Amino acid sequence: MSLSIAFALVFSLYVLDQYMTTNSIDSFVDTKGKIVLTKNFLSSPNNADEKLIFIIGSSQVQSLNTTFIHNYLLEHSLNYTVYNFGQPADTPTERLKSIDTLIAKKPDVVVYGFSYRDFMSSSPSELQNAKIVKYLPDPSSAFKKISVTLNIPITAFDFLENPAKVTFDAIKFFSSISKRIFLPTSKSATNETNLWLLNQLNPGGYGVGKSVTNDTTFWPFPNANYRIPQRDTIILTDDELKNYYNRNAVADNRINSFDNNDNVAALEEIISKLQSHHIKLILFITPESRYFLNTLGDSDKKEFNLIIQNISSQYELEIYSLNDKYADLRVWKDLDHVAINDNVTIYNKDMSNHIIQELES
Amino acid sequence: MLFNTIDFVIFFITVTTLFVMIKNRKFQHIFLLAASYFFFYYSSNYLITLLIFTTIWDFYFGNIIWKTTDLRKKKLLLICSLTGNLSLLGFFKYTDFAITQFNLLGHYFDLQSSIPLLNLALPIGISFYTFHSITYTVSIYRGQMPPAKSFVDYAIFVAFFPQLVAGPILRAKEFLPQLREKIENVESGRFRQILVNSYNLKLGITLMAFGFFKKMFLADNIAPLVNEVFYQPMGHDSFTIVLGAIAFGAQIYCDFSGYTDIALGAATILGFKIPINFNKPYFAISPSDFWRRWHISLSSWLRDYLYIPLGGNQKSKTRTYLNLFIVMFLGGLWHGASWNFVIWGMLHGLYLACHKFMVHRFPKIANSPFFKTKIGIVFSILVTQYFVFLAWIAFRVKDTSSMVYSMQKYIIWDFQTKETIQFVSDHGTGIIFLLIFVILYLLSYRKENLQEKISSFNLKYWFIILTSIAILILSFFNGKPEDFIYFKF
Repeated sequence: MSLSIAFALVFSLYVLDQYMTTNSIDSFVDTKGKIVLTKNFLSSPNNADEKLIFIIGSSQVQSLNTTFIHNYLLEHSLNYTVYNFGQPADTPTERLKSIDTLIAKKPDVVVYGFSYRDFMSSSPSELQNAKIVKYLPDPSSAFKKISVTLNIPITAFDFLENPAKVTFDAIKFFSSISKRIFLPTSKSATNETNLWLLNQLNPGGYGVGKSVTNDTTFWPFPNANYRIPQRDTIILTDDELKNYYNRNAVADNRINSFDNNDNVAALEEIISKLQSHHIKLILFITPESRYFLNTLGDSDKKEFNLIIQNISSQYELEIYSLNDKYADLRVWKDLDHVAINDNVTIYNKDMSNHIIQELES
Repeated sequence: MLFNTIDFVIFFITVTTLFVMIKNRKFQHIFLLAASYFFFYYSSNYLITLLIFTTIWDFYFGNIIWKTTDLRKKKLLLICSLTGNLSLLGFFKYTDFAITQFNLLGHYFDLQSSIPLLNLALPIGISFYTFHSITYTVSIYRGQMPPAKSFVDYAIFVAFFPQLVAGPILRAKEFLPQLREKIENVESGRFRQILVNSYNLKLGITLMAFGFFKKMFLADNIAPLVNEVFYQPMGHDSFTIVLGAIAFGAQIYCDFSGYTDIALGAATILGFKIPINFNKPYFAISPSDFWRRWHISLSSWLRDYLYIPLGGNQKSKTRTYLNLFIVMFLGGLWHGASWNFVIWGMLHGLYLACHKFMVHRFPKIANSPFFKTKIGIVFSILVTQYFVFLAWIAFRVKDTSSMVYSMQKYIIWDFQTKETIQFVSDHGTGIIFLLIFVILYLLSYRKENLQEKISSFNLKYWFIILTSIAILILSFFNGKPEDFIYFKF
């Protein structure tokens, strides 16, 4: 009996101790806050006096510090507000869905970072299919050609491209209407979140055009202090990177050729849209570690280089590659992501210099 | 060819229509074989040669084993047959894995050279059709059935497209007789045409609808939630990891049982009966009960072709536990060339062995009337599923350090809630779909043969139900067909 009581007491103290050591409320913007800020920004009226630079791409561009870049540009008498719209697992196909929204904000410059992954097949079946060399006639590509030629109706309707999005938008719409009808005096959750966010941020509130400070570590948005997960700040040693590498087999044939790659077609469309709106476009290849590059097969490297050459010549754009410089540096949090760390400023510096070079040319 | 793509829909409708039009059963069989080979060839191209090789190999050996009277020679022939099958499977599935492990060992001992990987494409369905073939030769060896009279019939058994890619694993002695039944005229030897009757059509379509619902409505909409947790689990709180484990359990169940329902439905429409693969596994009251309900065709295959030949539970208790462990270890390895699957299998082996040990050691507790009460059953289910979902973490997370972290957080709770609340708030959609799954699953506890009951409804109501399911699926489809998880195996 006394043993049971002792055990219960120890267990209770343990539970209490765990509960008491919760993080204190801080002023960091979390994921939901970032979504709210993004929506607010994109739906707010444009400020004609403000010059904007948008950084887009996958998680490999997310470590670019907009505050750093803004300050660096300012030292060269270039006053631009920089926003980082990097999205994990982004590809040109995904980015194309939202590019019009970004274009509507009339940015002066769009900096687009991409790499091998942006043009690779991602699903396991596609990866397996990529490994199967089609020695014999391929009925699946014949079927695709027929369906494109005949314009089979099922692909013609926008609704069927992403029915889930239409459904969710409809649910949100009816939900907001019913709240207005049945709860007209209550504030919406979004408004409450906005107020909370404003209270957490600078006393002057969230505002475009407020000057940014030098001592903030990382802001994807001006005046928004974003929480960086601890795992993103750790710089791996060479041995740790090697362990990552050893767990990833070398694979090849994951990048389809230039003329048969959906992501290349999407990238071309993005470039055309940006150029038709007279938005300066800076393309760059995001840095990769040596170990990541070693996981690539020769065919994939060759196809990627062909894609870069074709895009560059077709649209008369210089595409900066950071691979040679970064491959053997000690800046990685994993095989292909630069760590977000105050000791790793090289990525921000290099991109800032590229932007300056482009703006002054 | 994924089941949830327009390619498959067009293929299936075409095959069924032509199948019905063919009057002669012999030609129906040939057509079915051609369709199955086309289905395989569509995704695998030249790798169809492996399927054909396996078919010819085991058909030939099956005949010789049957004709041989010398027991020793019979055994030798069986070993040859098994060696051929398993060598093929081993080569394509495990060679690169073995090379990677060898290279890792080499790095550990600072050897400068490493063997380059072969980068072999994994032939789709090789794990499944290899096991189909093994059931054929072993059944002949054991005298349970004669060899197939026709090569075409045997080839259909191996390559039958509804179950070719991801099971259920068919038994030759259950499937082959279906190809030979319903002889119209025994004297003439002509076989009656396989008819697509209205009962089978309704039942088949209902099964397929339920399969697509589980896969496209539930599994694919829960998947983003799972991906968010396990993409980089380090740093997540315990409750988030637990939530992720439950979500993955829901996802893999809906994904795999959804696929099985589609396969069952397609086979039913064509007039064939294939075994069920799931029987409400998350209501299992013990590890052995779980394996009587989850991937039933695989667990019964492992029991009949591995566990029993190893001695089953007929030898000593220690040997029984060891047999269970070995069988589940190999079962884990069968799933994929990766240590996480091996760990998953080993965990289940451990569960089975421990459960057996507890039953032997504490029979009074095992047979206690408490476990027959409602509370006792609920308790047994919760404890069993706690361990099942723990093992799912190993199945999902490949990276060893992430796996260890996640399992540690799952077992030893930190009682942090802030991050979990934020996570739930950020992923409301996935949570809602998970809740829908939980509610539907709980409601199904006492419901048996739901699909059969729905298919027996009046045509008007049946049509309304199916249309509602189709609208739900379509309304929450994100436009990109997601792979079935078990296609990887």
